[in-house]
Amino acid sequence: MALVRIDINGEKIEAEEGARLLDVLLEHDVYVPHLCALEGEKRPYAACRLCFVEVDGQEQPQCACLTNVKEGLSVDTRGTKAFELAKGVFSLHLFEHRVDCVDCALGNSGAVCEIRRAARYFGMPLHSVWRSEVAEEVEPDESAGLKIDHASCVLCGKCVRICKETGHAFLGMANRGARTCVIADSRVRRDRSVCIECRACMTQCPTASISL
Amino acid sequence: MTAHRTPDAEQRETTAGYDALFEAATQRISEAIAEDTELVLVNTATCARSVGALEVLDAVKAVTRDGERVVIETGCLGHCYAEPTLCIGTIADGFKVYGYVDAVAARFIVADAKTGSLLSDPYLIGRLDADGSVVSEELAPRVAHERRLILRNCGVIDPLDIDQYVAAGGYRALAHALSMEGAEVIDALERARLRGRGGAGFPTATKWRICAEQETNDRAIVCNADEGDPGAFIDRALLESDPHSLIEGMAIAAHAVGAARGYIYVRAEYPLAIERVRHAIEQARERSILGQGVLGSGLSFDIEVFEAAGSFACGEETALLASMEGGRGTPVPRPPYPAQSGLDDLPTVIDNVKTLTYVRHIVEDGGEAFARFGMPESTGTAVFALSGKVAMPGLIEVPMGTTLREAVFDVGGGMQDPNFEKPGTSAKDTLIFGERIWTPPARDYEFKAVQIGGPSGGCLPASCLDMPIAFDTLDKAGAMMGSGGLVVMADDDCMVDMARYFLGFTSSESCGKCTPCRAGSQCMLDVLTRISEGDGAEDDMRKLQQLAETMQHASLCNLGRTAPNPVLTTLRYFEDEYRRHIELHECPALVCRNLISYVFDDVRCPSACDECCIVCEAIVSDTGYDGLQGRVFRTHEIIDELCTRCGICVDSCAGRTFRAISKVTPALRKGE
Repeated sequence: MALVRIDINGEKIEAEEGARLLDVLLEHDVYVPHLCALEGEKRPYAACRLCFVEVDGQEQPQCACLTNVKEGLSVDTRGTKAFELAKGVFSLHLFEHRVDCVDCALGNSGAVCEIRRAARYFGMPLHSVWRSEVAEEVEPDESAGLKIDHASCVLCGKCVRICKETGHAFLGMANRGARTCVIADSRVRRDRSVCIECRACMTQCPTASISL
Repeated sequence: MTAHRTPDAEQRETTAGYDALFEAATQRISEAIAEDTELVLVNTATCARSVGALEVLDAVKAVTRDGERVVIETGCLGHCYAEPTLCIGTIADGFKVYGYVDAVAARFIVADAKTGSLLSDPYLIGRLDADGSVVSEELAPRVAHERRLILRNCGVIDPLDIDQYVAAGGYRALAHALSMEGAEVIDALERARLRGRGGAGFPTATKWRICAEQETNDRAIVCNADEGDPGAFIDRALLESDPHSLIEGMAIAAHAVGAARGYIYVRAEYPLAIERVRHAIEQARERSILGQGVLGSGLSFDIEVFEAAGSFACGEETALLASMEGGRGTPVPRPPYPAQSGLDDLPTVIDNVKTLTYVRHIVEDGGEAFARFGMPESTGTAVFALSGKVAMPGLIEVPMGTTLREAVFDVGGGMQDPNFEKPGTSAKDTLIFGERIWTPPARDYEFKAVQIGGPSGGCLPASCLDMPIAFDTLDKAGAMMGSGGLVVMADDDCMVDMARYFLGFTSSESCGKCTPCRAGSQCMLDVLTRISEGDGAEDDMRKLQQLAETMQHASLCNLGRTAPNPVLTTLRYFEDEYRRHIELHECPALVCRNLISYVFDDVRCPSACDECCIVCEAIVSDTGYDGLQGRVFRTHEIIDELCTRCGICVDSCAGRTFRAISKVTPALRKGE
């Protein structure tokens, strides 16, 4: 791949043509909030809708994970329009994510919490307007092995995709609308196979919602 | 007309293939039905079945002796207000159309068909015209605006009989298209400036061209018949009444882009449509219209029906493909567009039923003829499912650019409750019952708004009535063509409640993939519910606006981007109504349950029948004695805490000219 020159927040940098803009931004230490991007994915999932940036020549903010690097690309990650839009979406994330940092496995492990980082970036207080709706509706499968905390899950779908990538496809999404949730269920598998506990999903989860 | 290719062997063969098909069909039909054979066409589409068309069909068959007349099951004529409908006549003399028929009426209508009689005449709604419209004095304003193009065959031909379709000129366009180059077909579409009828209005020719230009040997055609909008039933009517038009359109598309596989993605909630389409595909295969060598040409194309599991989100093309591939029906970001990489990574043309049905008319009449209809940027006709508080709801096909006023007041017959003025309830059939029965006069409603385009569309107020219906004008007004639902609302419809209903629909039908749509619609629904329950806060309207903007610009697919439209348009045009809900806690349309109370008017209740007390426990009555007049009277009281605002007391009230119970807003509270 050829290297092309692009402009990020007024800084000229070189990047591979066709690369995902989000990766390039993160590589160059330009932080854009993101929750659902998985490394090396062919077709971006683009569900968290947080990585909005302003691209020259485009009227509306674009998702960095959906923008590909090309010659002459000029990006502003701090534009008001993109910032406000992403902030609006993030407030909706807080609507779904139960903020409980004291008991959070992620915080206790010392890893970087993408939600906290995003909240700092947007300058928003971290308290959720969370409401339990999903948790009670899904009957957990005892034989599944995995426990999923629906209350803190933000449905980025990383676990489902990584599970599919590892060839197990043991995790899946269930229901529609506000009742959507991730399920770990041996009942959905036709061959009745069970989780091999490879922990790929746990390492990917941005909210530490999956436990064994 | 497009230029013909120089005749070569294949073209001659194709024409021969079509000629043989046409001759065989006309011969078979003329053997079965002579010019003067009496024909009875009974509409047995889903819409008519729901009001008893199958009983009518049985009744007609019961009074028909062998060889006396031919009874044919057809599809929908579009006059939903008069279902079940019945057409009787001969090919030579034309057909009379009877509406509001039931099993009893069907017997004497069929018996007196030739002469007409005092009994059957009240049921007569008009004469069947060549293009399937019903002509009569009363329907004159409707006929004046109607231009039936894709509805032409609906209700007129037998959807289960391919011969009738062929005899009516069917598959001629396919034969014609096969004699052209694929690119010429696309050129014709380009000249017609046909835009997709699925909602977004993307130019069909562009989509086909992108697909045809992809470097691959295999492509696919998918027909999107996942009609999920509340208030839209056009695709169902087309599939049930004229499935061959769609098959022909898909075959032409296959020839134009070079596809070998076709799929019709129908929602499983349309069992009759699926049955009739499957039957039509079978017949088309028998006549070698589908399969190897379509009509003797080199084209190989076959169609399969895919039964969708019924999700509104699957109407979005990428979600539709995901569900066809066996995955969860969630959209994926575009590009790549399905026309570049779609079903199983093949370039795929996905078009709505209506779009594909237009294709045969464009190929046959030429693109220019089609573009003469309508507006410069929105050509052709528009098909709407007209419903709500109009006198004559149904399927209408009008040229683009017809104003909303014409659609509602001329074609729809004006604002009126469609449940009035049926034979048996109107004054003109008093003879049937032998005595004059008093019925309440049809209530004329005051026009308030028209909801166009379903959950993605918007509510347009009376000031927009003179706006021409076209893709761009609707967009500008904040609504959308959508899949063609047109719901007329009157002064007793609450706009906040309406917005809440549609948001409730989109929030439960959101696929749940992207956060703005999933959580945003839920948030908006919460706010709207709060307002309609009288707990609205000062800044709720600003909050709604903000959420709507986030959803519009941040959502992944068009479902989320257009979902706030009902809220945005009602906020824009009916701001006052929101304010009254929030600030005064009143619902001017008397709809929102928490904001109204039922009150009893003893003075206006003369009958003392106590019917309301029987049906509802919240109403208590007592006996009083009027000493001055020397009569016993009844007093009633509605206990507000027990009242669930179901309204059954109003319906049960025996007062014919008035109701003793009425609604008031704001709700009466204790101590007031």
